[in-house]
Amino acid sequence: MTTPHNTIGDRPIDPLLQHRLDQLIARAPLAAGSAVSPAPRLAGRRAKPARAAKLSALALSTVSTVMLAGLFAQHADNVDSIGFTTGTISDPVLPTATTAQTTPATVAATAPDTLVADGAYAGIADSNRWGNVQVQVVYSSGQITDVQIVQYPDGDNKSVRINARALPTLISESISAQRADVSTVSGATYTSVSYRVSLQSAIDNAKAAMGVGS
Amino acid sequence: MSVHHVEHVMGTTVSIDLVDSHDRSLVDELVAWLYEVDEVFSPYKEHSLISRIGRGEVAPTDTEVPHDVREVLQRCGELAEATDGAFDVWSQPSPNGTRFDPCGYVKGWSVQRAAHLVRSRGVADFCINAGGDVVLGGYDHDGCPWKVGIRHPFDPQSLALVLHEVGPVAIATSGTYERGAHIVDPRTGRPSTELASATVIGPDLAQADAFATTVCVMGVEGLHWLAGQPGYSGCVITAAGRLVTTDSFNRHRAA
Repeated sequence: MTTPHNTIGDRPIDPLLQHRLDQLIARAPLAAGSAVSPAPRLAGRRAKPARAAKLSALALSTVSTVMLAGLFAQHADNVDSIGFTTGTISDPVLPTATTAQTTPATVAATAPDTLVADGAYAGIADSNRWGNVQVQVVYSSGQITDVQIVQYPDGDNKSVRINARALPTLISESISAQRADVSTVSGATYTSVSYRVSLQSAIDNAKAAMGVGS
Repeated sequence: MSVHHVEHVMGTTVSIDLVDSHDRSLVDELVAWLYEVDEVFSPYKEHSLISRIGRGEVAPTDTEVPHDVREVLQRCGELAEATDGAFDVWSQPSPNGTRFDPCGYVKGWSVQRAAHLVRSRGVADFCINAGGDVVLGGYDHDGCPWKVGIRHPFDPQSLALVLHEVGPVAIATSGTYERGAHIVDPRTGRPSTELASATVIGPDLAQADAFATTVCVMGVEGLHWLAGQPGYSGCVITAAGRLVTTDSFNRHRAA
């Protein structure tokens, strides 16, 4: 299944994420079991419930990300000062993940009319020669509240080492160089022309103004 | 007293920052070395040795080919093998019209050599930044770990993250935001667009630079590959602005 909608809010979706998401959506009823029935409010409005669910999921994903960002910032000052917010939520597949807990499994019992029981559902693992890649979605109250890339351990130590922390983080706010007080900046190779508008150029000018060297 | 110098060479800008040194002659030597490298290795110069090798006028085994050039060619060959062709200087559209462009290795290699020269002259604390690829020695001007910004791929005036580093260490970033989408997958000939940038930290700038390009070509999965390279760690920022890191990379991030 493909979809022309490829943005979350005003940001484009990773092509990789889009691909895995498409795979996952195609498999969603399987993951949820035979008790799945279309959500009334979606079925009433849309000819393609899966796509509708996906769209609302993406919107909700953005909302949950923002909410989680606030949650996370309260618990970790350094996150705020660096200017990052986390785009991940609890991940039962990766026991070492240190992320905010949001949706206890017990919620499912109090929401009998939900489309899918609350929890995280992993998609089809896609193998390539660099390792296995997998997407999982998190359902809450019958809605997808987050989509994340999960890189599965495949028995290979190399992969496990990445997986322990390879959780995507959303860049919502960048850091001003002045605030960070950095000595130098690493970036993709600039030309002599683009150097003039680079941060490194500003840093070099500041040093020159301070009378350091030539 | 310290020395700070900016030189426009090799098609980019190199910033040299020597802490607790007033050795101007060392700076002159470093700059001369970079120009020498440009003469020999630039694919933009029609008569450079690299352009002649690319056109097949000179064989890499010819006696006139200096040891340095052979060393670079050999390392490039090893990297093509180690990366399963994701980094291949013989499959890159070159400015001289051939398919041979070793720039992706040579810049890092030459700056790493420059760092060895600096250290051999007794300067332990220094920072050399060549077009966004950085090699560091020791500590900064305040005696603290160097604070290295990683450029935000979507905003040239801001940073995506900040690293704290004590040298010797090298940091290289490859990305699609400078010089157009210039990261081409040698295996397909198509530009790699999944990632906005990839940053690699490790002991050697030439390797780090080549690895950053490799990860850019491989995409997020490239981090799996990178984690298998002893001594190297890294992060990627996807086209959608997500940061993914190898486990060991997080030790470098500023608290």
